Formats: sequence, C-alpha cells, structure tokens
Amino acid sequence: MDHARGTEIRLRIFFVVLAVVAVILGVRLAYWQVVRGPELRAAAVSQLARPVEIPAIRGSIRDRNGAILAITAYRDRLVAYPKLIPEEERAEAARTLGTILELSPSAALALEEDLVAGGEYVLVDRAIDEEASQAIRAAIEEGRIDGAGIGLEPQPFRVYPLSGGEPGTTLASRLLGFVSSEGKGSYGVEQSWDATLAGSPTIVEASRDPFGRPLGSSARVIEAGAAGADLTLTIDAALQLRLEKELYTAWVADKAKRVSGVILDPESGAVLAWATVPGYDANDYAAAWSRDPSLFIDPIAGLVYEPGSVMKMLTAAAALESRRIRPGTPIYDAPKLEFDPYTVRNADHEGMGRIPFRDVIAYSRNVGTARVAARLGRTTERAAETLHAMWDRLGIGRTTGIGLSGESAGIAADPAKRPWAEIDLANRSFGQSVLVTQVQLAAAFAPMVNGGMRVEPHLVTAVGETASERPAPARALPAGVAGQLRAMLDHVTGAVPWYAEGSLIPGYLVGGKTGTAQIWRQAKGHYSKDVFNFSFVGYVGGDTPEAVVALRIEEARAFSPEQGQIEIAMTSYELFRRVALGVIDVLAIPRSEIPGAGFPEPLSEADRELTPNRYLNHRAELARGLDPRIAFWNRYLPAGALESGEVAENGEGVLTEIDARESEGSGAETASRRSRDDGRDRGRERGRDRGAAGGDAGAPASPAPEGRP
Amino acid sequence: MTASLRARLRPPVAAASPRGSGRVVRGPVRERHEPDYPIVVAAIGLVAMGILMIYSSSAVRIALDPDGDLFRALLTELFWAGLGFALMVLLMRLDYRHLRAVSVPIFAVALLLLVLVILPPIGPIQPIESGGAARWLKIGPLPQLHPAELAKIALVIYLAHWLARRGARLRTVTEGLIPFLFVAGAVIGLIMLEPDLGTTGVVTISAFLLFLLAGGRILHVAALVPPGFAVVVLYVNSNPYQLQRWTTFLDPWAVALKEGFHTVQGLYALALGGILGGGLGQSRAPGGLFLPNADNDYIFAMVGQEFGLVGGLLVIGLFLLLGYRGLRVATQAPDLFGMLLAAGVTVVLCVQAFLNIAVVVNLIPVTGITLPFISSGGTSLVVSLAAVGILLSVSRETTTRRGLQDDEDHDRGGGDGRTHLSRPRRPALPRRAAR
Repeated sequence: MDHARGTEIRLRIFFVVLAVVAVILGVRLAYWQVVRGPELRAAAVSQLARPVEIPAIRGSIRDRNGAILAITAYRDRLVAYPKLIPEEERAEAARTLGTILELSPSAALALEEDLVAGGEYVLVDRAIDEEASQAIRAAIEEGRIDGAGIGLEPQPFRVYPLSGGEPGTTLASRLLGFVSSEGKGSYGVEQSWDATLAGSPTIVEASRDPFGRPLGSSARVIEAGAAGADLTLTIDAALQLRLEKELYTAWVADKAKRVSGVILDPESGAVLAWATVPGYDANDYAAAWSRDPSLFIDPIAGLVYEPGSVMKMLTAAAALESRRIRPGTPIYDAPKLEFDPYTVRNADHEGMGRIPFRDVIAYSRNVGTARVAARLGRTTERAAETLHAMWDRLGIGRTTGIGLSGESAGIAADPAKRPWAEIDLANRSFGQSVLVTQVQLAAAFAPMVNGGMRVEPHLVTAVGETASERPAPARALPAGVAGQLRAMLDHVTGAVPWYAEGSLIPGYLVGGKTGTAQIWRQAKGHYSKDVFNFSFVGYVGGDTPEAVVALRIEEARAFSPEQGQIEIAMTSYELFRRVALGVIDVLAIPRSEIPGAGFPEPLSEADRELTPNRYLNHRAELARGLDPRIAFWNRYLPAGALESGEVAENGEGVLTEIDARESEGSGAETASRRSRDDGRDRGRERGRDRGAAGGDAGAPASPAPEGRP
Repeated sequence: MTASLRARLRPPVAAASPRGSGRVVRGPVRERHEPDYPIVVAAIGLVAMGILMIYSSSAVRIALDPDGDLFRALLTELFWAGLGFALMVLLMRLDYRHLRAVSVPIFAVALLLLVLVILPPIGPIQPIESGGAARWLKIGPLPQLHPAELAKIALVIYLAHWLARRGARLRTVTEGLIPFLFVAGAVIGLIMLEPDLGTTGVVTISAFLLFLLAGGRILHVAALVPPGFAVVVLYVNSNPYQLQRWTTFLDPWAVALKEGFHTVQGLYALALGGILGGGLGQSRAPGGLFLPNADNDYIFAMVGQEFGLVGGLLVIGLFLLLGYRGLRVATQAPDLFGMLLAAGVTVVLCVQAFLNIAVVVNLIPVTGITLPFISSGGTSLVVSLAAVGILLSVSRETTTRRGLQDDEDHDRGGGDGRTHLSRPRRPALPRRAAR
C-alpha cells in the first residue's frame, strides 16, 4: 500500500470527523441558544433579576392627641463580605468593628473568626445605633476598615419614643407589643393590627451584581404595594404615663406579681389608658425576651382570673332589675351559709345581721349576696339563669371586641348547658368560680355609671385619616336600675369608712367596688393563704362619670394580722384614688357642682352597729353643728386648721386649700409626688385611726377608735 | 553532543539569517514559501476573541477587587499573547526539523515537570493545586506554569519524531504498538495522576491519531478500544466525584444549585445571548456569582452570551478552519516528521477546543479543560501559539506533490538509536536551478 496515500486518506477522514463534530457542536449550540433560548432566557433572567420585596414603611401608632407611641425609623444593618477584604486586613477589621460595637471578648473573637474564614457574607449586627454607624463610616473614610468588604444597609427599625411610667420601659409596652426583626408585629396592637400597619410590600425586580445585591439602577416596580396606615389610638399618653406610674408604685409597695389597670370612657367605651407593670422596653424587646417572655403577655384582655367581690355588682344588677330587691331591702347577713357539704362564709367569719342590700354590697357580705342571688328566681335554676343572663348582657363570658389578638372570653358557665348547684350560684354571686378579664369588668361597669348603655371597649379611633365607626351604644340596663347601681357604687366608697378614707376625692364623683380573691393553687390543690388578687372597679367624674377604672393587683403579698383582716401596703382603693386623681389631673375634669360630691355619706344605719365610735362622733359633730364631711376632712388637715377658721363650715375652705395644693403641681411628676406624700400621711393616719384595713374581705372585728387629731 | 552530531544538526536553511527566508547559505537547497495565512488569521482571531472575553468577564470582578487594577488580568493576558506571538513568529521562521534534535530533551523535561507536579514540594519547586483538578507548578520566581500544557506539545513533537523513525515496524505489535503505548502511556498516566481528565483525553486522542497517521494499524487501535472503554467505566464508577460528573451531565437541572451549577449557568449564559448576542461587554452573568470560571473553562459561554450563536459559530468555524488548514499542511508536508508534527499540533488544538465546547453545550460531562487561545492562562496561550508557530513552519515547506518520502531507510541506516535529521524528502531541486 502506498503509505503516503493511506496517510492522506486518514488525514482526510480525520478532517471529516472534525467537521462533523463541529457541525454537531454548532447544532447543539443553536439548540440551546435558539430552540431552548426563550425558556432558558426566562429562567436566567428570573435568576438574574429575582423580585425583591421592599416592605412598606410601617404605619406609626399615635395616641388620641397625636403623640407618637411607635414609629418606624431606619438603622443600619452591618454586614461584611470577608472575601473582599484583603486577607491580612481581616483580623484587624474585625478588631476595629469589635471596638466600635463594644462587643464582648467572646463575641469579638467569634466575629474575627468569621471574617478570617473569608466567607461571602457575614451578618455582623441587625441594627446598630446611629453612633456606631457614624463611627464605622468614619473608620471607612479614614481607611481603617476596608470599605468594599463592609456594608451598612439601612433597615427599618421600630422605635417606641416615649418612656413608660416604670423605669426602663417604654410607654404602653404591653399594650403595643413590638415589631420583630423580620418586620412582623408581635403581641399587642402591633400584632393585632399588623396587616393595617404593615401595608403591603412593593415588589421590585432588579438585576443583581455578582454578589447578588440588587442594582438600584435596574429596578422595575412590579407591584406598587401600599404604605402602612397610621393608627390613632384612643389612648391618652399622658394618662397612660400617669397610670403606669401609679401602678408601678403599687407594684413596688405590694410586692405584687403584676399590677394592671385600664381606664375606659364610660360614654364611648374608648380606652384612655391600658397599662401593666412590670412592662418592658419595646426598643430592646430581645432583652425582655431573655429575661421573661411572659412580660409580653397583656393580662388585661389576655388573662382571666377570679375577680371576687367585684362581681357582686352584677348580682346586684340582676337583683335590682328583677325588682324583687331594692337597695334598701333588708337582707339578713349570717356568719355563714351551709350548702352541704360546702359552707359559704363571710371573709371575717362574722354576720352583720339585718342590713340594707346596699350595705350588703358596700360591706361586701358574701352570705348576704348569696342570699340575694338565691332570691333571683324561684328555683336555683331560674336564679342561675337570671344571673347568667345579666352577666351575658354586661359582656361576661364574651370577648369585648377590643380587637386585640389573644383576647380571652373568660369562663362563665352557662346554666342552660350544665345546671348550677346551689353552691355554684352562691359562689358565682360573689365572683368565685367565674373567670373574667379586666377589660370585661371595665366594660360591665360602664353601663352602671353611664345610665345603662352598653359600650364596646375599643382602642382605635382612626386608621390613617379614616375615623373608625363604632356601633351605637345599646341599652344594657334600664336607666333606673343603672342609677340605683351607680348610687350603690357611690355608697361603697361613701359609706364604708376605710373605703371613704382611701378612695374619696373631695369635689369629685367617685364610686366603685373592691374585690379580693384568693388564688387557686392548682399544684397544691387549695387556695393560697397569703397571696391574693386585689381588684377595684370604679368610676371617677366631675358632674358626670368621666372614666371607668378597673385595677388589679395580682398576687400581692398580704399579711393578715387577724381573721378577716388582709393588709397590704397599698390597697386597691387607695391605688384607685391615685389613679383617679391622675384622671382628674390629666383630663382636667372640672370640680363637680353636686353638693357633697367626694365626701363621705352621712353615716348609715349600719355604721351605728359597725362603728359605734364613729357613729357617736358623727352625732357629736352634728350636735356641734359641724357637717360630718368636715370631720372627715379634719383628718387630712393640720391640727387646728378648722379652729383657726381656715375652713368654712360647708367645707369650701378645704376645697380651696386643696385647689391651692393642686395648682402647685402642673406636671404628672409633681402630681405623682404629691400623691405619694398624701399616701404617707394617710398611712400614718391609718395606723392610728383605723384598727382594721383590708378590702371587702370583711368588716373590722373591732370598732375603730375615732376622734379628731 | 558531539561536534560531529552538531554538524549534522546544522540547519540546512539559514532560517535565522538576517535577510530572511529562502536564502540558501549552505547545505541542500530547500524551497520555502509564505506560511499558510488562514492559520495565522484563525490564530489571531481566536486570541483577539479571547482577550475581549477575558476583559469582559473579569472587569466586574476586578472592579470590585480591593486591589482594584481594572486592567490587570487584561494586561497579563496581553503580555502572554505578546510572548506567544513572538514565539510563534520565531518558530515559524525556524526550520521545524530542528525540533527533532530537541524532541528528546523537551520530552524529558516535560515528563520531569509532570512528575514534579504530583510530588510534594521540593525546595523552590512548589506544586499548586487548583480545584482538585489541574495542577500548577511554581519554580522559584518564575511565573506559574501548567506542565500538562507543555507535555501535550512535547508529546506531539516527540511522537512525531519517534513515529517518523519507526517506519514499517509500527505495524507490528512488539516494535510498534507496545513501544508506542509506553511512550504515550507515560505522559497519559502522569497527567491522569494529577488528575486532569480533560487533558488526558486530549493527549490520548492526539497520540492515537498520530499513531494511526504514522501508519499504525487500525486493528491495533480498535483492539485497545474495548479495554480502554472498560478502564474508563471502571474508573468513573469507582470514583464518586467522576460518577457525579456523569450523573450531572445526564440531568444538570436536577442539581442546578450544586454540581450542575456550572453547566446550567453556562447554558443560561448561552441562552441569554440568543442569535446575535448581547454585544461586547453586555453580558449579564459575568464573573463571580452566576457563571463561575467565566474566564477559562466556560469562556465559550461568555462568547455565546456576548456574540450569540453567530459568535459561537465563528469560534467553532475558526477552529475548523485551523483544523482544515492544519491538516492540509500535514498532507502537503515535505516529510513524515513534518506531516506528523502538523497533524499532531492541529489535532491537539482542535480536539481540546471541541472537547471544551462540547462540555459547555453539555454534550459530554465536565472535564475541566480550557479553550485554546481564548481561555485565560499564560502557559496555555503561549504553548498554543508556539504550536501554531510550528504548524506555520511546516506550512512554509508544503508541496503539492502527492505522497511523502519516508525517512525510514535513512533512519535505519543510523542504527545508533540517536536522533537523526531527515534527508531532503524530495530530490534536491534540479541542480541546474541551484547553480
């Protein structure tokens, strides 16, 4: 064979093979670029230009006067791209950052390791404060840190600018909740109105650079989104602050687990203040989270409890409406009532005998109330139905519609589903075996003071510029019954000496009902001996009721010097007066025109038996031509003030005196200080003057010594 | 080297004489003519394309680089291209027969480097591992070099020389096939140990092709195919990394974010180019994030993205042109050595190019070889241009006369196992013309 020729053929064959391969490659190339082109291009473009969600700026939360409770600002997120930092500079950069951010040694070390490892992306800090941002910018400018490898990315950051009444907290922390680092509203208003506040994100498609960061210049809006709406709350920030301060005082004084209070406008149901102590710093919620996550729970709407004697007012409402009982109807109050095998006792284990129904409520007689409850219907079943119907009408056992997520409906056993035993009726008539929330109590008391209209408690007055519509108030109680109930509330604070002393405010309408409930210890299987829930639901106003105040001192550590006496450092009604003074102060409620408003009632018949000394004093004062109200106020004035003629007989001088004192303090701080001073005085007075304190837990066992200083 | 040998090695043509080619100084007269310009055009075109692509794909990366020299990669590449072209011109002007003399030392040096690169560092000799696949060698202050690239061309030169001398013995097993397997196997085995499978493939294909072109028996090669195939299958199956490359090849989208990332991103880049391409510098997936290795293994995807199907076909076409002209030079080479040299150089360049492109268009599994002329990398570019220089040198002496004159008799006559210069393949030009 001709070798040369064979070689040439082989070369030609090889070239043909080469050409065929080239054609195959070309066809394959065309397949990807042309045939599959559109499909792959779409995939590639979607990869290059992935849509980016730009969260809408979250709406702010304001109080009724426009004060900002929560607003979204921007803070820098600090990120690092270690690969872009020259290797030898990484450790130094980490140290510089550590110094600026004031990292702990271990955190600084972790950061250094991260940077030296040389990853693509390290998140150093989610939100650094303004100062650190500037320091880092300065360091980049001076060249101490590599600018390409360190990024400051502005991130929305929720700010709660107002301080709360409790040191180290933000205002209304438990009510407002907070916004998580992911931008999600958590707890409280932030969670419940999250959709409204958050708006909908703008979706933007943007090409990205080799590091995956969107390129601003190529951004294209796909979905416009909507900005978050501002929320205007019914809360009054000043009143809220005042309430928090007072609650904090009680929390400290009573060594309570929690103290919470809610203030409602009885006419509209608007929540004026809503506070719980301890709160937390919503600007640093992470710290609160690590300290105690239960700080985030709002107990006012979210937690239920046995309110105790406060519920007697609902029994009274049912009784008065039934017309079987009137406020003056005599009720026999025995020391105890037997429901074999159970026994219902008065807190002091004593009986007051035949006393008018209004005194049964005022002196918080358990036995008397149970007897009244039994008279609500011909049978226990009917009576239970009547009581439950009243509960239902006043909103017990239903959510109030306040709109907070996590609101509890409470537990109000329905007799139609499971009949109540006699003992159940008795217990429930004075607030045992029924679980309510504090906001339910406030809402239930509103009709008693506003003439019988049921109002829906609400927190939001306007979303954005649109005012929220409220349903027209519906009648819950006949006007007459409501008037009787309000008189009964006045009677509680006006007639019972210790309540009068602790809660009355001269020149202002004040009324309310206390409740002291033992706490069921599930683990131990019995009620605790020294820890109680103290409640007070009342109202304060000038000529008309202006605010319903529901307070709860939860698990206060009390001491019991003798049977029936439960002493705590600051009682619920004393706390109420401080809060009520705050309401008057902040809402600038004018003094009542009603004569005798804010003064003790002339002594009742019950007083003759219960506080003979006081009764005799009263008689003596009457004989001397002095109004008992002035005698009452004598205890709050320096010795000799009356005699020196500073105080006119009708008490106007006292009022002038008080006016002068009040006008001294203009801010909440001053008012609060004054309030504390008052408290001290009263405390001293109490020790001398009154043998028995303690709420409705019972009448004092021994008559209190009476007398002017 | 003895003086007598040196005398025998003296070039018959004064290629280095200042007045240029064709001037006969002494020895047998050779006719030299212009080099094959289409090859020059193809090479320059491909290198130009490479430089554009390297600029395009590296610009973003370098702009973000803290050391921030926008043109560093580009200037480096231009330097290597300059060096490569200089070497190309030098080799073009040099009589390729000189290579016979240095083929053995070159081959020995290449083998030595291949051994050094898989050994642990010795003194100033530092092997550098890159991606677990290709290895580099850094010797003292010299720039890094890629021994496998050198070895390819060294093997071609040596095989051309060795095969040309073997003559008819090549058709036997004992004196043809087995020695051939030893020679080629040494290089193939060492490159495989690196492991650099892509280059292994290129070298294997080129070596066997040269064997066939030199007169080896197709039967021998065919007999080696089944065991070779079996070895490959066994190797792939025993090596999870290689096996995974195979499964990735079958369905790159199944592992688009992991092993199939390169492949899928390459195809995306191609698709983004469409028919006409996005235009120079308009690629949207440069460097770093989306198209890894955009400046070397996957540079063809960059070409496809910026210049579209047209650009891709142009590159394939230029390589095909190179192949066509190269093989034409081989058929017209004045002697067997020249023929094998031209064919070998052409085969190495074209096979590597087509394997690289086949990887990018997902016709074969990922092998990890560069696209000659276009991919960044100094050794590759210089060696490729040097190879073109050799090809051009052969092209200057092509003849239209059919057939090749073996120098086997002449070699046999030597009998001392040394390298021998070929005699003029055809009778010297008519004496009267010389006179």
